[in-house]
Amino acid sequence: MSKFYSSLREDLIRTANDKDYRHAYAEESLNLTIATQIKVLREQREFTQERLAKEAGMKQSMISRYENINYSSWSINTLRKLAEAFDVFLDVRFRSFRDLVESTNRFGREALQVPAFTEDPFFQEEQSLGMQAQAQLIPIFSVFPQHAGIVQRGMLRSTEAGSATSAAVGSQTRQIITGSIYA
Amino acid sequence: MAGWRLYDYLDHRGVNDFEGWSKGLESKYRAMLHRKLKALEDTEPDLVPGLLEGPIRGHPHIYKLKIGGKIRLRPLLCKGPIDNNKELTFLMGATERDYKWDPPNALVVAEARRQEIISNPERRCNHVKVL
Repeated sequence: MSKFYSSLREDLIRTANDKDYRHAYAEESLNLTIATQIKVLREQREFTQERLAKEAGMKQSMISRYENINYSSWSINTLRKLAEAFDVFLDVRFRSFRDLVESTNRFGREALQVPAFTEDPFFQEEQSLGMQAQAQLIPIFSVFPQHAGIVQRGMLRSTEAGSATSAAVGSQTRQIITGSIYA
Repeated sequence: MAGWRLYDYLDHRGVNDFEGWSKGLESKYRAMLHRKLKALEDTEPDLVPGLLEGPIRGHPHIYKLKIGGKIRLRPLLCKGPIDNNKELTFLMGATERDYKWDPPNALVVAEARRQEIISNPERRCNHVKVL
């Protein structure tokens, strides 16, 4: 299948002197991505537009407008409400055009799906590890109270940080616990 | 990849009218058009809401893309017309304001061009990207 629009990087290089081109492309991409992601997240949760409207404190007619890539009057406040309704967080950042190329090339249903906090395996595993660690900590705290602060900091960070960091901190936490037991 | 294959209508002299229309656009409007065409090429047909609008009332085979801004650009296209599940063909470029078309007979011309392609599939070519 011949594809005409797959080479965004080359197009941006060829139009390097045309600032209007790349900014218009980025704005269109933003509108397209937000509208599509709202629809994808709603479908992922098996919400109707009415249900999403209720969760976000909006009218269904507004959800219908937001779920159209030709809508462009976004406000951060609206997006914040939708993020809370989906139980995800809103991330607004300034980014390079390299990121535009990468996100455009990745665009698709899977890339847009985001689990709600309560559906995220990351937190289910962490909760389980946290409960295990707490069970082991009780006797350690009473014997080696000087380690309690270190372990607590590790657990706190493992809950807040990304998965790679979390694994490392979780491992460190277990080493501290083990080390404490055998100290 | 589940996207559409894109084609352009050719007139009886082999001229690609949609290519000429695209060349006349300001670059920012071409950029908006390109982003939507990339979405048409790359994504499953029903993923992106509002990407392909239509069919237009009274013209059951004609669709439009909405390219925003002060000038409401409306590339007109049809599914197929050879394979309606996999192909889109650009028939012409137009503008629309308050449901009024420029040129006024844009939808009629678009349908006539679609019929020409059905009669003679040589009256189209692979879509030409204008950067």
